[in-house]
Amino acid sequence: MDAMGNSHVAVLAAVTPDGVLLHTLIGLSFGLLLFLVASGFTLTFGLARFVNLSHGATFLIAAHVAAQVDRRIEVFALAVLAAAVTGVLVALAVFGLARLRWQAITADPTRQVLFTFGCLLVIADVVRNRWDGIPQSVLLPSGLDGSFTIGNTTFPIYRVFAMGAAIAIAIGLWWLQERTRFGAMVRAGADDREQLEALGIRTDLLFLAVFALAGGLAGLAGGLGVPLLGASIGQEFDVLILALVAVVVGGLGSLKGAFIASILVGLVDAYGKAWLSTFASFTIMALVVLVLAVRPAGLVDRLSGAR
Amino acid sequence: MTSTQRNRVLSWRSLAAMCALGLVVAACGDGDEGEVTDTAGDSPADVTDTTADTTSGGADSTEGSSNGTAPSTDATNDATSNDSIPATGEPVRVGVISSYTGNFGLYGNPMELALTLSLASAGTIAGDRPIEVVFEDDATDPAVAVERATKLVEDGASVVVCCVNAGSTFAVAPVLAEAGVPQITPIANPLGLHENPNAFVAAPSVNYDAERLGTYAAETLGYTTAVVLGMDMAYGQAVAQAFSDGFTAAGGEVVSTILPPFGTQDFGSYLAEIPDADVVFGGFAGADGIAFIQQYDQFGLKDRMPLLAHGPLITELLLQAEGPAAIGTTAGFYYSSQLDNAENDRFKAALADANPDLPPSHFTAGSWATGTVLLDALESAGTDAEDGDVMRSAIANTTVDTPWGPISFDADTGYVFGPTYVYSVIDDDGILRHQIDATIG
Repeated sequence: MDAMGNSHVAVLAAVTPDGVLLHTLIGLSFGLLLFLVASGFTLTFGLARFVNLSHGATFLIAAHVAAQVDRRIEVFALAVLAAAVTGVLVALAVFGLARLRWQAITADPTRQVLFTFGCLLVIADVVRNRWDGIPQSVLLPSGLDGSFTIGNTTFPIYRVFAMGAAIAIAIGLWWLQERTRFGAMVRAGADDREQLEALGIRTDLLFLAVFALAGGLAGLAGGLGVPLLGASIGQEFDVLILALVAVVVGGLGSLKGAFIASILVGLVDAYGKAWLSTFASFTIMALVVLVLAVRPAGLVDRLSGAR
Repeated sequence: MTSTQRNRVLSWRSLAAMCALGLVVAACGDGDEGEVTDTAGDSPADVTDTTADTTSGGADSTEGSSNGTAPSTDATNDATSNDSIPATGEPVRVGVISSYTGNFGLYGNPMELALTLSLASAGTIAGDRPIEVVFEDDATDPAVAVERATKLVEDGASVVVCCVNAGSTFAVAPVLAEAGVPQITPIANPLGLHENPNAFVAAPSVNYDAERLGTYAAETLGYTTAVVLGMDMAYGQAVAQAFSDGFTAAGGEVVSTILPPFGTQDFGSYLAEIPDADVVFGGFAGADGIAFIQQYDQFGLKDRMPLLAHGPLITELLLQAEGPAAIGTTAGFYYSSQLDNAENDRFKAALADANPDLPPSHFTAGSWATGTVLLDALESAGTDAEDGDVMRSAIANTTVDTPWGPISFDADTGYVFGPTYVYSVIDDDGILRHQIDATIG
């Protein structure tokens, strides 16, 4: 490998305006997709202090369902919808299981992690058995399957579409959290659950709704993500780790933080791959170390800031 | 207040630790599916019957607990291997390490099926010795593969079929060499086993086909510049290097080499770094391959530069999943289901009979051929199958028909040599398939 060893580090030099634009777009599209997973994770955590690691597997199974539906009926919109529904159902199943021993599980973060990690492994194995571990993909509808050129660079149309969809969802989430009664209840529940219960609001229903919403977001991410990433075993961990990074960097429980951090992770990933390809998997973790060294509670400190 | 906060800090610390632990455990592989298949009998119960005579507690031998019965078989054989005390009727143990989970997890089940079909065609060997196959999962992880190989050796395997993942193949080789148990690798793997007289590869090395494709690209296709990409692990490095060697030796110039990490899903940033050239070579396999070939199309590169590949990128196993993005991609490889010979027809018919949804590919063809090699070698080793030296020379001396023609192992390297087929992906009435364009050598 000596003959080639240096050449893939040498790309460092290739910094052009077109390249910067292209890498920024790539980073944004990946980061926004990541936000959909991270937002669900951070919502559940913010309200219920519940760490739901099964989100990685929710993404995985939703992506597989989307690919299957797309192959069967060849309507991409329905495939994404099916993925979202799958996400909701999976999250509700996890919630239902957790309800069986709710007090014991919620009392201890270690139990939450073990419980939801177990769910992740089970769901991933279901996917492996159902699809024989064969990676799946979708055929994009005409109109979304092409690419366009800016200057000397080419960018897939679908990524622009996915970015638009993710931004629309992010705006919807912001509206839901800041402008609706439901959002007010979620925010109140995150700050002081006992007080909220004392006001006569049933927090168990609120939890149910937030779990479903979080699952739906992970499912949507799976559906919208298939054309970008495909659907394959192993994603349950890849996606989970990146989402965890975004949540931790952004500040646990903060939607705004998750949004900023997801985009940051996407950009660091894109530029890391382009300019330091040998250290591609290291650059994101370097980001975590840097951010946490400077701001141990993450970019947006929701937990202590609210008190 | 301070104490609550302290508690929270502590519990979050333990949570982080649990997270890390959990991920490490998962990465180390949960695939612990030692599974015994009796290819000679109709049902697993037959294993119990045949082993009950020679080992105690044979009733357990069909389920995972092969540990319980096998050592005694092993001990018996060790004590008797050179005398010819009745080994007849005793099963011959074949160990298989494959990837059922991890990045190459998709290859495990199809390869198991093909090997089982191939061995089942014979029934028993050397008179009345049934063949017992133990399948193990390495989770695409060389460390796990070594563990499994050690276990198989302890369980008295006469020969070990391993592995799918190049890293595992190399990691396991010294373990088996030390134990004196021959190793047969069922599919193309990188060069590097040639100094190990104990190892055989039932295919040309990946370097062999990739280098010939490199030469072909420069000499016959007339390309003068190339960008070479490969996944950053043993396989991808080997094919990227070999293609570059062949291409430059024939007068071409490699303008850039990019090695994305194994397991990359978003290739966008790497694709954006590809400079203009006459042709691009992609050394990817598994899920990485699907993502690469689709994104190569999405980023408009397919319209700018033709894509050349080594076999696995456009394997028929994944072709339909890759979709139209794969059309026009050309590969150099030793096998395609489009090859026209009697053994290939026999293999394809058997596979279609067992699972009509599973397209034939070099993964299954290689496992099928490995079964043929095993039958031939075990037959000639007969009652001495547990003797590593006898088994080794039996394998070295076989010549068998495979779906890509007759093969025998090169005496110096243990690999197989043969023609390299150059083929492209075409759309045949909505079904993607290979079309053979040329044959090298």
